[in-house]
Amino acid sequence: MKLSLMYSYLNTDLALIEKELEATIQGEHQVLQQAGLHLVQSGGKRLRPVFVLLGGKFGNYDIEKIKNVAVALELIHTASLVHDDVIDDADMRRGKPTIKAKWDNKIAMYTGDYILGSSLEIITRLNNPLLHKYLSNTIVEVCLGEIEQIQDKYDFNQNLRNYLRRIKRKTALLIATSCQLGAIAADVPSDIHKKLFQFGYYVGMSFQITDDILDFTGTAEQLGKPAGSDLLQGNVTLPVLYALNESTLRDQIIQVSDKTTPVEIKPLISLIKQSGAIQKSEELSNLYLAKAFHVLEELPPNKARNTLYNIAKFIGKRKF
Amino acid sequence: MIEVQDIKKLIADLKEQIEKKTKHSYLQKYIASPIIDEDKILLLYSIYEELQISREQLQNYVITTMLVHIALDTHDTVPKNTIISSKSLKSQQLSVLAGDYFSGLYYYFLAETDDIMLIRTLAEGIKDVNENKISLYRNDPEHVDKLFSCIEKIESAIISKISNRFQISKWGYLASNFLLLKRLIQEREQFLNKGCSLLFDSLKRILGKDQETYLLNVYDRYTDHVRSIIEKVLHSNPNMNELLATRIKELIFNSGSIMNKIVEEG
Repeated sequence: MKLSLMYSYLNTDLALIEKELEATIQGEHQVLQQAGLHLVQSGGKRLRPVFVLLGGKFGNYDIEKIKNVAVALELIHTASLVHDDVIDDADMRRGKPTIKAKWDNKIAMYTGDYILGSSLEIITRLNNPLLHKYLSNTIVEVCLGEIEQIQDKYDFNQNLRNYLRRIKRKTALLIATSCQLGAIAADVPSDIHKKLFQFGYYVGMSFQITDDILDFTGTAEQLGKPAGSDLLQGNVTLPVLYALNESTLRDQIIQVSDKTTPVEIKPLISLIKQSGAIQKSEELSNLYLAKAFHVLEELPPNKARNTLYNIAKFIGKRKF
Repeated sequence: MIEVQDIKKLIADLKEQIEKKTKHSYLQKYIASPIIDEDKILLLYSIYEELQISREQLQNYVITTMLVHIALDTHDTVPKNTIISSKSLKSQQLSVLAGDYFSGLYYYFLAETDDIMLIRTLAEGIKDVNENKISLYRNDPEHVDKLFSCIEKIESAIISKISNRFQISKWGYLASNFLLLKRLIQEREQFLNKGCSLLFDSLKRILGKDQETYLLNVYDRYTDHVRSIIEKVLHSNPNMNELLATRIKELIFNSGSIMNKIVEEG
């Protein structure tokens, strides 16, 4: 089943969010208008808004209120991607030129900051202190996670705990916060919105581990970049961590540096794929998914809960 | 009214707190510590003092507003094109993240104290500043007035938003011109010492001339105009603390001497 079909009953509200995104992302300046439109049109799966809306379905669902959370979170995610492309010196994202490639780093920095300003302007339409405490904490943690990612590059002595903390900050927290804030905006009791946070956290962890696996198993066409790019860039992901436990592989992996070329790394990528590291990573991803399903069982049964179940299953098992 | 020495101590204390909040052991290894503009702290302190809020709240307001300025300034250090050498690349990457982190902190500290209205006000300021930065960077201003107005907004959009929000517009007017004058003095020094300045480059383009004396003449006339505005506002604002009044006079004197210097240097 296609992902978008799982939540097709949210389409009217998602269309409204799309419209709001388009309206708010564009500034008065022509460059901001072009950049905004470019970003909205090359938008991804809009997973965060979907999680926000589904979180809201556990309470007093008022789209006029909840849309602010959905739009703000998608904008925060978009702003971070625009800046990430400067960090990674990336020219393409989702098959389209990045802002930094279309213009340059300066425009990307200003555009990203403008979008962050827009997102905070929108989220402050909601006068809910708890919501702002959670969201601001998440933003700070995400930034710290990204700094940590640079710090840990080519560090082959790091442990599993280190990796898990990094992906929690990098990916899982924003998904968890999306589920929780949608619920908070719908006045859901704290025991429920905390469970939704846990659900989002587990799904986010599984999502990122799957992403890290796909970097090895996907094709260049599916990934939009050569397989093994993470390791080439020094990102020590879960498959690499498991592969490091095998002494013959370890000796080769620790030789990888910023001087290593894509051609040189190719045989090593094949060896890691054959080593059992991928299977072990899948097991951990599945473990997180199982935890997510377990939390779902503790939530009140409704259509949103079923949808969350299906989405979790989909993104944990996705092949690209 | 609070004594000058006490204000100086407060400003120093605020600066120290900002330094502590922006400190990050790994960032420090690769990027320069952020420059914390004491004039901006003094200006913000003076504006927020007018609101008659608690000392704790005032400090939080100054610190978070400064964090926004520091975040945006940090992003200004990211070069136009990526520098591939390993150390430069890391410092560029961390400059991007440091700016994002400081922005996150502003939101975090205001959310902790439930100051949602100020979060919003500063967010509006962030938008304005960046819109004008793009405008300046893309060489949009076609007239001298528009160029200076663009610089003014980059320097003071955040403080203007604050003064509008709290309905203390006289402060917005004074702060805008104070910060504009300060930037004009800095750009002039940079132009004379290093031969390059974003503002002078734009001026050259707009005027279609690159003769230094001519450019400085136009520039100094405008600087004098800003100085006279500040002098007028200064006279109509008797509630200002002594330290700020002294600092403004110092700045006016600096810029005021520019024309005289040129005449003297002849």
